[in-house]
Amino acid sequence: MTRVSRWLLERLCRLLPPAIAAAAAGDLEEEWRRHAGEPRIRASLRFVREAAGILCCALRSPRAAGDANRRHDESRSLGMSGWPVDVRHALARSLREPTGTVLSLLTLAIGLGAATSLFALTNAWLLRPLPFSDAGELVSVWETIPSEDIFENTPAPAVLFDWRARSHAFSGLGALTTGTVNLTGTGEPERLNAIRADAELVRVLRLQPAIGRVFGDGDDAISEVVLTHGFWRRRFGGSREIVGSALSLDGVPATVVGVLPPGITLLGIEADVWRPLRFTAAERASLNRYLWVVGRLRPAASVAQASAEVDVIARSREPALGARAVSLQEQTVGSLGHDLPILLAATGVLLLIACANVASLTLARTAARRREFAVRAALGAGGARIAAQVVIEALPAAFLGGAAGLLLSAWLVRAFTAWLPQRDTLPPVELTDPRVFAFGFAASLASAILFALAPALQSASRRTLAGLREGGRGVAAPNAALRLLASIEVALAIALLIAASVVGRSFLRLTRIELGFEPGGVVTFELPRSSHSARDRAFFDELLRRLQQSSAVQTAGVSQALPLKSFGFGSSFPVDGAPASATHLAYWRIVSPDYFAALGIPLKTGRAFDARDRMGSSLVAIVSESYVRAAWPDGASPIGRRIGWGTLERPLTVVGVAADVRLSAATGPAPHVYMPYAQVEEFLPSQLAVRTRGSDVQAIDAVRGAARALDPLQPVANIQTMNELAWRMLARRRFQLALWAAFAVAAAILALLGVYGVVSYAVRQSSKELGIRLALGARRSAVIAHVLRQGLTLSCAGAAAGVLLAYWTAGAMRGFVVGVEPRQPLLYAAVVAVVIAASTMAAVIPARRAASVDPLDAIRGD
Amino acid sequence: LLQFHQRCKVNAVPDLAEFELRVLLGVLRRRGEAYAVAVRDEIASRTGRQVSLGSLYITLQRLERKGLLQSRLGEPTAERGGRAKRYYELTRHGLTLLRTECRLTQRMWAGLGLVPDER
Repeated sequence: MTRVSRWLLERLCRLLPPAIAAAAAGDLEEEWRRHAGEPRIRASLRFVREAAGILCCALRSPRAAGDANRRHDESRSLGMSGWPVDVRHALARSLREPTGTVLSLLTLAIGLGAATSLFALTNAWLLRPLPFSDAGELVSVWETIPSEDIFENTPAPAVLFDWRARSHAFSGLGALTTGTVNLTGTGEPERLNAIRADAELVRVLRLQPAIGRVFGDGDDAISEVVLTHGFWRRRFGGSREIVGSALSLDGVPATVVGVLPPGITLLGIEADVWRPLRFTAAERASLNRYLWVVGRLRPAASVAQASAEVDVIARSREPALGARAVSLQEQTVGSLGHDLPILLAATGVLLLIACANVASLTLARTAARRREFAVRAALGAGGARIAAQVVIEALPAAFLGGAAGLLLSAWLVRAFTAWLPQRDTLPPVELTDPRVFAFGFAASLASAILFALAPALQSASRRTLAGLREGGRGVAAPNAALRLLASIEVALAIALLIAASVVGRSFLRLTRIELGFEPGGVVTFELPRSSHSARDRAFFDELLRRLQQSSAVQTAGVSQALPLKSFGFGSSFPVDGAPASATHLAYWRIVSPDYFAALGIPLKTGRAFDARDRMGSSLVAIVSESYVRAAWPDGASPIGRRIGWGTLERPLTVVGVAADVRLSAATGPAPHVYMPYAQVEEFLPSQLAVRTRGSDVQAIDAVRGAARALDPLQPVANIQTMNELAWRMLARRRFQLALWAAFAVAAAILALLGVYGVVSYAVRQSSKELGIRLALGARRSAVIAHVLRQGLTLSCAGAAAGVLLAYWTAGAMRGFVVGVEPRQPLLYAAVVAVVIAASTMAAVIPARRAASVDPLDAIRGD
Repeated sequence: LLQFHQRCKVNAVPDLAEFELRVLLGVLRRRGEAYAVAVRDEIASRTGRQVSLGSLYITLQRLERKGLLQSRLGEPTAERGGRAKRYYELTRHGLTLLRTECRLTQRMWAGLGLVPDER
């Protein structure tokens, strides 16, 4: 006997009435031995079947042996009272009908799993407070420029101090700004993202460190630094010894005084270290707008009050400006705050579909039990009592489904967050949160009531005598509501599938988008220099020269802004000889001569930059095709023409025309003006693109080696391949696609289950009719065709409605997709064909069952 | 009065369902060694119908409560994992009922010539 079956046997013994427990267990074991020669699997199956059979009977039978007890129990189970009996009945019944049970559980698990995981996300991001104490009081405060539709401008220190002095709604207004520092001295030099926070901010956030302390107000605090948890783990392996030691930041020693707890992020700013921010008297009056402001409301104040107050103060300073306060929670969640409710609604629909499905399965079962209900009603059970029984019987399935859904949601949440573009700045999702459990429980309960409602009402309202007399003779087709439900499901599934395929096609198109350059085999780096001196310029000259000689590098180029990595800046470039009003906007790039070769940007005409273009020689530029089209619409050659950077005071001579480059997937090809960095004094490139000779790793080593040989303190940061950047650029689209696909597939599965449920209900209902047909000589193939036709009617009606729905919503789809026409007859046809084929397959199982009906059995009935 | 009424109901000769009849006959045929597995084998070999142990237990218990069967525990044996068999046998009441049933049925079948005697 296997260990599992022995374990089962012992469990079983405990559940059985004591009178038969030992004997039954003995019999089972004897049976096992008798079939010892059989394959293990078959023997196990037999064992499980027998054990389940015994358990069912035991559950149905009264535990006590006495006659009086039995009578009592039976009267209860006949329908007067006693929900434990109902639950026992339900369990026993579901064990007897494994297919239906598995189907219901699967359906509920999908619906409840989706709902629970979406709730877990909503809970983590919208409902759960931020990782600060009394985070509900925290607001972020922005300056606004209403005339330019700018509502999130960072205010200047002068404005901040004005707010601090004159507002009453806040118990404190803290300020921070961002920056980068170069960490040198210990190990690999690194460029760190820093938050610089003033002492007031620490108070406002009530920031508690995980280790050590947070920097104080004193003047000596300026040389203190606090590490974020992630950086501490990454760089120092979580060593506690680091507190108290000194780091060299931008060449200046700073003492590590503490480490922040995990998950502390503010306004989505990624930071490695927090440093103190101090204002000198001059800085306090500064109008440089570079501060993020976070305030804590006084207990009595509301966000609206605070908003109105800062607005008035800002207007009194400068009438064109305003200000507003936003709850920090809302601010942090951002666009997700709009997306999540829509998603929640979508999962609600999914859950409803799931409930409709289980309702149809339950209806099919209760229909088979009409006589039972009729007898109960005849014996005096009221409609409410019978309805309650049906609902109570639904509970075990609902809770098992809910439990399965919870397991499923653990996986769903992980998958969902992995796809989310802004996953790194959001708080982690906790599935073990009691609120998630409570939601799962409530959703299961609600769905039990929902899916049992229709069967309950139907059972309760069944006319007693009709049920008894008829004896289930009816040739009832599935009722209209059920068929409607199934058709609606098919329609929704088709509409969703069409939408998902349109999104998928558009995504495919995006992955094949012409970027205007060759991203394959290019690795990008950031090499920030602290100044623009001649020494820094020489650093890049020498770096590029050394990389050109490296065996791992084909070509290397620098720019102040690489495509896909940063947008850089735009400016107007007026054309010499054109009217002054015609200013042509273009992005400008300060590049090295080999930049075009390194990125693979084709030069259409003219030449690339070379050694001739140096400081002091005549200023030159390379323009992109769309700039040429805009600036010289007559089609004349632009070579030798002159344009100006902002003004025509220092004109640039066009020496070449390059292809247009896209800055991101969302934008079209943009006009560009390139200038050699040797001729531009005020800007220095910091981003390096290297076209590798095969291995990325060797190229990265080559760049690191060359940079360190030239300047041991030079950090080499943000190493990414162009392909990686291109992929990341599509993250949001990918996320959308994944969501659509997930919803569509889930809806399709549920719709197929729905068709299956309704058709098998119909078969069960009309088994007598089918039996008569068979007895009268109908061929089995004809019976199968008859049943399949029922399924086909459902799916065709659903398909027609679904296509209409898809066509109708195609207009809204245009907002989601790029470069794809949402109304594609071929796509519609393909989706419809697949769904109809699949739903016909779903009807095959009940059809075969119908054809295998024994005519005699069917006609004789009960 | 109520108690009397109930006792009357309990003691009244009950109608036997088809399966109950088969189980009673199975017990009778295996007289002396009629425990669940043996009764099941008997029914299976004679009717070709496989009966689940679960429904057999239910019926055996019910028949016992109706006073048609009585049971005793046998010796524990190793092949049953040291568990005893529960042997069933017909009570006098049960035997009487079977006889009555048989006589009634035979009377109903008599002279129809549908089924040849199986002796």
